[in-house]
Amino acid sequence: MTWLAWRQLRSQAVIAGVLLCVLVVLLALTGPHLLHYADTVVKSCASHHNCVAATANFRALAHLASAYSVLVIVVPVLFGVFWGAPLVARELEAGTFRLAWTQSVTRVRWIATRLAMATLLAAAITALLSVAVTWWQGPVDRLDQALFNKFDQRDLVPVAYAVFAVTLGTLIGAIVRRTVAAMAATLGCFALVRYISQQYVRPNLFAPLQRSTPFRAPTLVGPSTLGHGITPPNPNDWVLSDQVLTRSGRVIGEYGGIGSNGSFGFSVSTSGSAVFTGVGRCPNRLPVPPGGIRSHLTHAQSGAVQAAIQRCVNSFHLREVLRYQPTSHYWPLQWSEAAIFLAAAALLSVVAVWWVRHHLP
Amino acid sequence: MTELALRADGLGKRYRRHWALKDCSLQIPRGHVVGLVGPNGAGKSTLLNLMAGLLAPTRGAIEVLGGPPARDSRHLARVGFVSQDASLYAWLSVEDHLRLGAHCNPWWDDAAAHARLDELGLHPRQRAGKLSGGQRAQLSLTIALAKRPDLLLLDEPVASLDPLARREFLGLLMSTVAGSGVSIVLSSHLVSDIERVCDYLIVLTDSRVRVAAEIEDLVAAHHRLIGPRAEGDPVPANQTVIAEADTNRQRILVVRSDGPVVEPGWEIEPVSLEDLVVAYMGEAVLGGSAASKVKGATG
Repeated sequence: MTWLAWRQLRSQAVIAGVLLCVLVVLLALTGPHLLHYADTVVKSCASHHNCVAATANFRALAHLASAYSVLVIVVPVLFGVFWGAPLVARELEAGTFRLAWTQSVTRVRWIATRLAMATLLAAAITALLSVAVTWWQGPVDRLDQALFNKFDQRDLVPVAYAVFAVTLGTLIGAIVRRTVAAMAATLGCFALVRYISQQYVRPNLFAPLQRSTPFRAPTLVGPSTLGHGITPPNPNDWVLSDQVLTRSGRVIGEYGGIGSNGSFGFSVSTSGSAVFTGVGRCPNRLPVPPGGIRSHLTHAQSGAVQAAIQRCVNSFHLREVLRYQPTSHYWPLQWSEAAIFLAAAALLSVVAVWWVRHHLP
Repeated sequence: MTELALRADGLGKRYRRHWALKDCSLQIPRGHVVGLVGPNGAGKSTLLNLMAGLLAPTRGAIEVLGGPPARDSRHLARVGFVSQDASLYAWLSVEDHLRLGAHCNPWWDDAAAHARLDELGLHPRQRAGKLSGGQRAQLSLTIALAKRPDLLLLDEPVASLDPLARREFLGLLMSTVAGSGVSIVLSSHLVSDIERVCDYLIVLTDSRVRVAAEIEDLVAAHHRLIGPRAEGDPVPANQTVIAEADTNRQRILVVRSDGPVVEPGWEIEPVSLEDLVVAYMGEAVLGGSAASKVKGATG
């Protein structure tokens, strides 16, 4: 039976293997240079005061980085769509199940062997791809300092995604019994599961850390500080939310702004009584210059306005609260998410075996 | 041989709201070549697929070679199956199909399989998708035979073949299995195929078994009675009327009787297997001499 399972995947596995080898060679040829450039020119750019040029050059060297990352995201889906979905569905469509299931191999062993073969091959190919791309991207990732942005393109989770995608596709194919429909459904379901896990599961697998500061008004002159009131301790940390809270804990804004559109503003009458938009009436009056508050202000005037605004803002005791996953949670999250997808794949496999045994044809 | 090739008790299979097979009870000893005959859609394929374990019964029970179909790999190894469309992997070569068989069956007879390929003139490198209908049927049969099964199931194996290829296929089948003691169940909607190779007959119509017995006994027990037509004439006693037809002058009956038939006033003729099958299928029986007589009368 192992022979048949392998024979049915052989040509596609060989193609996938050859493409993978080409990619690995490509990465092996360009990777060391990239690493060397990062370790020498980029690392020492500050002392040479040429960091803008050095990073630009480095980015040019690594211009295929995003393409490789996309590949790591796409490959598990391809396995689900092209190996998983047709695994049972095509047999049913072509009638070949009548040949396969009347040999001296029980259906349970047939589906178990084929599923094992497909998932193991998909896992092995994805693992090699992920290792190669993760290594090659190392210097890029150290420069980007956005570890969690690339969470699902690196290390362990792509392998778990591939295993999950193949089993998901197999089960859908067995239920739908039409190859093309099963392929489309697999694509849709996989995308949905990945979205849910990314949006709702991953951020909450481990309790996020918090950071809190009193809310500060953005400066009127100079560069706007809106949205930069608070940052995580490590730029690689994963910011889950950055909220503005009232004293009672009600959320009234995000990323240093107030309200759903993240603005910051006051409505001021000619007499100087002011309303902090979205929050409340200021206890103090804002000094209104003769030409109105929108007129060009002198330095002293704007200083007075700024101080008055800050006094008003302070009177509400607003807080800005940052929730984030620290960089130290990266590996626990990788292991956990991979474990969840593998466990789901195991469950789907059991259902697929049971379905093939009892519900087909 | 105490073990039965097939035992079915109240066997039924339903697809959604349609019963493909109903109340099927059969006991067929091993060693027969069983012909399964009936019009298209009568349930022949359904019965064979149930026997192969490719379908699960909706009602009743089925046992093949003393156990539920496809119970385990050992049981699967004892049953060879050739499906209606000779299901093969279109992209696999002829040789790969034999390798498949060799890897998936414990008692695989590789030498015999390759010898058969040579005999058939099938090129080993040829892809199964490029084979003709007859070649596909032959390759399917080769795989099923190389398993060295105790029971061979053939679902309309010759339906797609021309008359010559049909004769060849059945001839080759019979010469291969002659003396090997393998039981065969083969379905066809043509009685001539059955007549040539089978010694046991099952007639299926409208999802039901009409008759199941050894052909020799069936032919011996059935007769055509031709008598004068008279309104309200009683049917001869002790006979089970299978079919009847009335013409202007005559009344023609096909009857089953267990004892000798002595019917004064009736002309008694033997009945051919084809007429017998047609009679069970519930159609008018005007075969043989009766047909010509009727023709003369009406024309």
